[in-house]
Amino acid sequence: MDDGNGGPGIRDAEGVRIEGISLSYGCAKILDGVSLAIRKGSVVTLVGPNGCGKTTLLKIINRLLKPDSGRVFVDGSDISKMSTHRLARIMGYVPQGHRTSFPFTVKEVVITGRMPYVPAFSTPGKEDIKKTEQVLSLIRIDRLSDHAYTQISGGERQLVMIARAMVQEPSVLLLDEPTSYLDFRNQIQTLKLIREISKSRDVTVIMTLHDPNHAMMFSDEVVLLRRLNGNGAGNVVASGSPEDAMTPQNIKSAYGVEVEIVDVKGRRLLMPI
Amino acid sequence: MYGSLSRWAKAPDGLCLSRFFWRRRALLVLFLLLPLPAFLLSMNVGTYPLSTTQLAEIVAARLMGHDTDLPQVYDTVIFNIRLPRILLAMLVGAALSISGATLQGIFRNPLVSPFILGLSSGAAFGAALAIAVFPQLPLQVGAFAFSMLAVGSAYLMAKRKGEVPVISLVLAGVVVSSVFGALLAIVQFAVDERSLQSIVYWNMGTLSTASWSKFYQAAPWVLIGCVVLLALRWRLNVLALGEEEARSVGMNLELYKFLFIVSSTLVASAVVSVAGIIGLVGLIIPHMVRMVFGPDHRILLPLSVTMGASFLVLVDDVARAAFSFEMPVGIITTLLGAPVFIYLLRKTRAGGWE
Repeated sequence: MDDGNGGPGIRDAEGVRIEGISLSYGCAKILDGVSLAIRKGSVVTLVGPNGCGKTTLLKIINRLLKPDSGRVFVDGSDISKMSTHRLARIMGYVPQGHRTSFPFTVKEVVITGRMPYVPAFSTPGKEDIKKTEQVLSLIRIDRLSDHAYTQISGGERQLVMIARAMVQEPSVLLLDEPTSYLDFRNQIQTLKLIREISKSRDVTVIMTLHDPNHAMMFSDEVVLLRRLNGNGAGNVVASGSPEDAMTPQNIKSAYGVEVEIVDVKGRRLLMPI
Repeated sequence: MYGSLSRWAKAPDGLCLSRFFWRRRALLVLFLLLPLPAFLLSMNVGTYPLSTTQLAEIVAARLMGHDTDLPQVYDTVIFNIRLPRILLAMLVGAALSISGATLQGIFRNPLVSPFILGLSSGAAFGAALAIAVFPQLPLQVGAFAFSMLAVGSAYLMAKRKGEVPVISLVLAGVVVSSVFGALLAIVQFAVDERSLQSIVYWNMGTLSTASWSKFYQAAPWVLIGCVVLLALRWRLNVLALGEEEARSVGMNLELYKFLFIVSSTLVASAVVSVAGIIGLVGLIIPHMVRMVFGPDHRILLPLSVTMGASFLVLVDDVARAAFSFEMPVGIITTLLGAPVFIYLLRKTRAGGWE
């Protein structure tokens, strides 16, 4: 929060380390020995075709799924050895396209993120309410506080779920397809906001995105994944800065699509040929 | 204070602000205190002719410990007939409502009733067994044991690798209900007419057999369950937003689901075993409260208790005084509940549900 030094890539402290993660669903192997090191405070995007295991990887990092083998470390600690409360205090997760059948107000939804701080036989106190209101203004949805969650737009719901993860006061924020179901304007605004949060609060962001151009524009680093095809090649095609990772050759081997890079006013864009 | 005040703080105009705020506050207090007038009114209702002054005189005499000139039968009517029945009605109404509210939260579905996991079918079978096959088995014990057994087996059937998915629970509940329904049919088919009549009558749900012993049998279980549910009520908000969402904020999902299911089953089984199957209370009361005050379980659960208690005691007043004969209260709750439910469904915030 007080660490807004802005520019990416200045500090090299390790935020998240993934070591040799493998997972199979039934007999289909989804992830095979994936290892990654993610710098603290950086925005890292996982991209790749459907079924490449990016959502699975995100869920493994948040311990929603247990890998067959491999370990995940956050700030040097093995997450499999953490209590559920401790994990929820350092890691927030924003699921994809969330819905609920009850018309909870936005504030009631967001405050559930305080769960790891509220003792079992208790309800959220003044401190929790204060933190909730702070995050609502940080995300600039305080005007929606008392609206029914079921009656706001998809873009607003996405922001509410981000706010819910932020009141956990995490050092790592995981987002699964934060732009799906959003219109063009909301996609850009949400991605900008995610970047802003990461920079102003020194939060490590790991998200999955469908659009490689969004990944290039809004990430410090990109991890390009592919589906396992059984010929021994691993999931990670490339990882590193957007320029290094998203080359036409790498895109081709991940998606099987020919692209060329177009330079628009100093910005690189991927265009399918 | 803080939370509910800011709820209206951003209302479009100032007039609205205070009016809405006070209206909500007043309603909340009214709903919380409703059992009191409902109790007093119900004490005055009954087939035995007894005026309010006589009632007051006898109650005062009992409290002060002195004698009255009024006949002893008045005392019996008040303390051994009306009072246990009224308290039992309130207990049953409160228990069914809080149980329904809890299960609706767990299943994230406002149309769930306390009987979704096979509780009522198990209880009906247990009661039938006690009536017709094992007369030495007390009826309440049979109903209580088999309702717990039914829910327990639905829970275990749905459990796989330490997890109990909600959808499996619903389906397991359907199967368990059918199985116990079939077992009940066997008993009904095999027994004599008198027993059959008792079984059918028990199934309708009635408070006419209320007694202090029934009240004391059910009350401790209801109390334990309610204390647990009320203490954990905010956790239901977390759970109601979805299982993955709950886990990602650090909730030990299976533990809480287990605690909620055990507690809500305990309270509902305890009252079903003494009053039979009283339908719709556990479904409509939480629904009505939610329509007025929103789905926040911090408010929903306590209000379900007081509303459920008031509702059932008033309906039971109708059951015991409105007709020349005793109408099983379960029939009235269903007939009365349905239109109220439909009216509220169409008139209020129900539009917010998907």
